[in-house]
Amino acid sequence: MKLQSPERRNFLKALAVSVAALISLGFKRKRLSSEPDDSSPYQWAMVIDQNKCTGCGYCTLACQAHNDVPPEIHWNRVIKAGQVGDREVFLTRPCMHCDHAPCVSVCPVKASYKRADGIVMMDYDRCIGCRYCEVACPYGARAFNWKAFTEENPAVPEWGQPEIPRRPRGVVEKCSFCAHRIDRGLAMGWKPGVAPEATPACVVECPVGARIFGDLNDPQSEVNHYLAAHPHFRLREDMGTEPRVYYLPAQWEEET
Amino acid sequence: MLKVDAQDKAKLLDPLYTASPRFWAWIGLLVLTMAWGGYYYVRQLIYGLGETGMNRPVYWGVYMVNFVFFIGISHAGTLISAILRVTGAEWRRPITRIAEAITAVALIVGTLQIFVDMGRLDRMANVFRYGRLQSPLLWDAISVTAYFLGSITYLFLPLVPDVALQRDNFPENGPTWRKRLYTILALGWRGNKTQWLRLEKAIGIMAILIIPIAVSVHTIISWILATTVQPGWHSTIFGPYFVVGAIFSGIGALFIAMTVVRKVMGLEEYITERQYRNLGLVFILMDAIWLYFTGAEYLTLAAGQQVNEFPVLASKLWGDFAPTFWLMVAAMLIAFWVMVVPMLIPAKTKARGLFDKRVTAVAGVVAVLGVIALFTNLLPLPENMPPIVVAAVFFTAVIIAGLGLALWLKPRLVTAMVIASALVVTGMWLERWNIIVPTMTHPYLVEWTTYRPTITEISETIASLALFCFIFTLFFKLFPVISIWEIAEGRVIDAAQAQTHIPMPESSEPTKRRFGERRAAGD
Repeated sequence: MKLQSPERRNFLKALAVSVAALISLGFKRKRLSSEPDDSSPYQWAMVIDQNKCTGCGYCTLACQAHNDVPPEIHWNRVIKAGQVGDREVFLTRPCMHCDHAPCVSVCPVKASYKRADGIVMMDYDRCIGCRYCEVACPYGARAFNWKAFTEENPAVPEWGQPEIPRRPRGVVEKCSFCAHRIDRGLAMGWKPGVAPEATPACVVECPVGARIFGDLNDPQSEVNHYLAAHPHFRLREDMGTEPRVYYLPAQWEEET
Repeated sequence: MLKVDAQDKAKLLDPLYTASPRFWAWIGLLVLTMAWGGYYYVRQLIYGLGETGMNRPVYWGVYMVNFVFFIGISHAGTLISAILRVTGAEWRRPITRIAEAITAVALIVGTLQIFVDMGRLDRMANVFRYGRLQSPLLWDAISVTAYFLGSITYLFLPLVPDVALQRDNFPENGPTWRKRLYTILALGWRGNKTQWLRLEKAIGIMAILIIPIAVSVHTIISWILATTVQPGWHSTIFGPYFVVGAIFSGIGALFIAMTVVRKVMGLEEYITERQYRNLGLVFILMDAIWLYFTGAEYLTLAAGQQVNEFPVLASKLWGDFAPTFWLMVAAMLIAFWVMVVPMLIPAKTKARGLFDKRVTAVAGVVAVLGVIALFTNLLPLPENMPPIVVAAVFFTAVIIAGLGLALWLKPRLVTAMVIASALVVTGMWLERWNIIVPTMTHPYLVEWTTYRPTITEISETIASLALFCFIFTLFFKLFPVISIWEIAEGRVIDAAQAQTHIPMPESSEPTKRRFGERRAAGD
């Protein structure tokens, strides 16, 4: 046995060196970091005023047309939330674009990722369809393409024209805050949240102005004005997901 | 030339080169079943996952249940055989090979479930190209891969001396490809001292390495669920709970497999009651831990009464999932009874009168009817019959049937273990179902729904089981089902132990003494 020991020592040395090399190669700090990257000058957020919302569902239809979403999928869902006085209150739910998004942290291939401007985005060309993000999302904001969407979109052309390609069968999709409209708007020098072409379709289409969109980094943005002037809440704040969608709760006295 | 014992050759090597009509019928049945499942899988490939019963918000269904189940079964083998090897349990020798083969096959079938479940199987390579180490799914991919490679190695190492035996004792008219296969796989094994030392060392290292890997596999599978914030999953007990459940169902699968092999190949002399008794003790322990963990998990949920958690529990206790939940609990309790109570009955007890097997059978039928009458509307009872009477009849029947069954099983250890195993394996599938599906149907913010698997999922499940049996059968048509050299080694150890002088114990004549009587002087 004694004869073998230098051999073994060399083997162990080589093993230690190669493991160390693998670790230093694979564990680049940036790749492993789960801190949100907020290097962008813009931090998009949405405010939804439950006092104004009438539950008409135009936001959902506009979304389905502009994003070419099949009728059985709702990126933006209108949920009956209950009553305040004799008035019915609705909870409309887009994607929350959480700062600590469970969907981003569970995705095995980084198909779901957080953009520097705060938008949680999907890479439809990378998604493997494991649906773990859907399972992990506590807001039910994600939808899976169980079958191919080949029919005509019933929301088109009444509610708008498709602006992004249809997603293939077998991938997960969700609300993107109409990231394509924001990006295009910024490129054209328009201000998202002010210029309709650069603002999410649901915000533009809302007939009662219950949705406000804007930049949290801009002290003059409408979003910041609303948040400063009104009490607000976010969904399931107890879970620490830090959503980017704020709700102004329905007030009793405003109606009378 | 390595020599093999004549009896071992007749019992273990010779059947590898013959195939009875029964064997071909079995293979034919399995192939047909797999073709049936394959048809539905191709349909799913063409039309998409919409062919399954899964839909919003049930994003994971039977495929995920099967995945957790089969990976659980895989803990049969390697873990049990590794622990028994490390602790030097002599009785392990005839069953290690079967256990290790179950592991390898179950891992293949389990991993296939994930492939079937994926929306974009064509992008599988993305897991390696863009894998994120933060995702529990990637932990799972890594640990399952490590476990698969480890258990294949661990299956192969003890196989080498046996393959060398097959190479050296190859029948003259055997097919050349098999001879070549054995020659390659034997890796030039000659059975000299250096080779034996290296083999023992390698097996020793693998046996220890494989234990933490196996524990990590099912822990990580539980963490896929537990690291989310979904009601019913976000629980700290899930890691150990899943590992215990995995070993538990694994032993069940091992019992069934070894009993079938023993029966079909007539290996009663190799796999004896000793294996059933000792492994049975581990089985009882696992059942007890499982019941304890289940009770602990559900009691804390019930006492907490949290708005999101409690509806999930309620759906199991008295809602949509009550049938599968209580079937699972009943299966585990009956399994416990079937294993434990026959051991407690004194050896000389005879089944007479009320415990005659005919009475037991009748009581059993009454008990089943009682369950149906109490929990469903299927059985028309007289209008004015109060439920308390039905319950009384039911409980009496259960007690009589239970005691009678225990008495009947007293001399039938193998039967008892097979019954318990069938119950446990079914119960553990239901357990995975009861953990995954109720949480899916009770999400936050989305309407609660129900879930029924479609013919696609059911066919795939049955075909997966057939695939498991198919690979298992083929493997043991190529390689001996029992590790021949380990058996031979065991015989040497037994012979050496038989020569050791063990002092006879002092005689202890049983004294007849009435209760309360004083002991005789000097007793």
